[in-house]
Amino acid sequence: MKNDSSHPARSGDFLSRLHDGELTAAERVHFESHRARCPDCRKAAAEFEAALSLFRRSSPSPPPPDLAARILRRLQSAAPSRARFGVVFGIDVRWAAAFAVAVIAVIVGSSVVLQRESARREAGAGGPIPVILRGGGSAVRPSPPLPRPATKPQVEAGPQSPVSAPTVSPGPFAQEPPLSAMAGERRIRPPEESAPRLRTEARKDRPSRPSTFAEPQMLRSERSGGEGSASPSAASAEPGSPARLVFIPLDGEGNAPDLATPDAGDLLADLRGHEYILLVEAGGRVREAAPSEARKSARPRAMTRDAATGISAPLSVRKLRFKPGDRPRRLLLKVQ
Amino acid sequence: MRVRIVPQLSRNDLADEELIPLSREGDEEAFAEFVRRHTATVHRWMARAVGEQEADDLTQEVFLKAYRGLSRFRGEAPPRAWLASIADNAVKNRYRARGRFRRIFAGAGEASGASEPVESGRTPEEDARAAESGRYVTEALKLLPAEYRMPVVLRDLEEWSYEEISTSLALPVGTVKSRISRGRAQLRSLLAPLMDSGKIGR
Repeated sequence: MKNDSSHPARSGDFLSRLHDGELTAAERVHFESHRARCPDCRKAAAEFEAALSLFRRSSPSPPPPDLAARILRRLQSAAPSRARFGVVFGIDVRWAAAFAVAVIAVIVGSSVVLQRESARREAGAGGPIPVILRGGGSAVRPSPPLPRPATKPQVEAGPQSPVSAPTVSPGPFAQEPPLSAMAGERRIRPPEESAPRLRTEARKDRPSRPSTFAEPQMLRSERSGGEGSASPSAASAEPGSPARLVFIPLDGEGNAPDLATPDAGDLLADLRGHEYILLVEAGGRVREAAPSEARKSARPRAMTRDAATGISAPLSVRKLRFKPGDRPRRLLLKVQ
Repeated sequence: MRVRIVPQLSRNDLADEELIPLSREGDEEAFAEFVRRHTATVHRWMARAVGEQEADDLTQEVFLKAYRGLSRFRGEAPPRAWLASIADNAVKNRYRARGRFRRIFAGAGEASGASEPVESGRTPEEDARAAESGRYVTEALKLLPAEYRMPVVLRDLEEWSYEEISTSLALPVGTVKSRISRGRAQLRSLLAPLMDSGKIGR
């Protein structure tokens, strides 16, 4: 009875290997001849297969249709501070508490309606990848929108006012509120070829936007190109879709990296005319960068101005206060 | 250092391997897509591993744990395998907690891990009745030691390879194989009454 070698099918391991087709040829031949004359082993092997087959066939009921939505709601309530901004989970668990301390945000921008541009661009196939940027609602922005900036072009060193420093490069988007409106000193000089990438939709006034966990998003890819997933041009969002996030790593001093890269140029061109909120991750926390934090501080110089692109640090970021020991790690731009 | 731009193309088009890093960096919609994509799968595992009554609950738990553990996901294994390991732990934790409870209040040493066939504690008549529904299988599976359940589910329901299961659960292949073969042997014992009663052909 106990002799498994004479009755191989008494061993669960043997039956398992039989089932998986892992027996050696010799084992298999031996077992086949044994099974033919041993009812016990025949029965055992048949039961084994039947049990597995029953197990496999007994398909469980499908999940309730709202299960995913319930999970997303629980995720949302599990991370209320994150949900509030809809941007910043996953980087540091200490943030949850830190958001209570978060200061206030930046910025402006209004959405841009450029229907004619879009029409023009669609005609030019093969060109830059068209994107749809959603004109942002103001759900997360604590301050009312700043006035639409004047259209007066302005060159390099401008006033520090966060509201009145539009930089306009000549081109199809000259009437668009420049990024510099969002941050005093920023000057944008979008490359001519990157400018026509924007196809914006009319702003849709919306109530406060819930976290994306709250509801399924119907995102539709607008991409037509085959670029890598990190491509800055892969921006498309429809109303109700989450804000786009841009991460800019900082060095230990709070300085941003070289922004003269093509990526940065594209990014900043895309930002034009759209609301964004600057968040700074530092000291294990994330804070919003705020122009109202008017206290001058040497640190951090969040972005360095680059001569080639004319991009310089948003005023609000430079005014952010950091405590000694904070180590600014990166900027997050929430673009909506 | 480079500026990193998170693309906004449809999350539906992204592979799991792309969704998880995005989620980790703060893209909620990426994680939401991951949840929606895998809810049915995790639920199916759980319906087998802990029973349908508790499957909803445990499925939620798995995704909550995944969310909290995003920063620890290193990408050695596919995200699906990572989910399976979380599911495996959730099953074991649940079962362990319950086993402790039973031991304390029933005084019975129920924790098993032995390879002996498990008694279902039913009479054949009861078994025959239970066999009328697929719940019997679930009930049988619930009698397996917790550490056997996800391996058996992944192997025999999901048809993962031993190597995949080994990677996912961070167990040597030999351990995975022995757990699965023991789990199968126990399933056979548990389901034998069903077959004897003629519910399924020999």
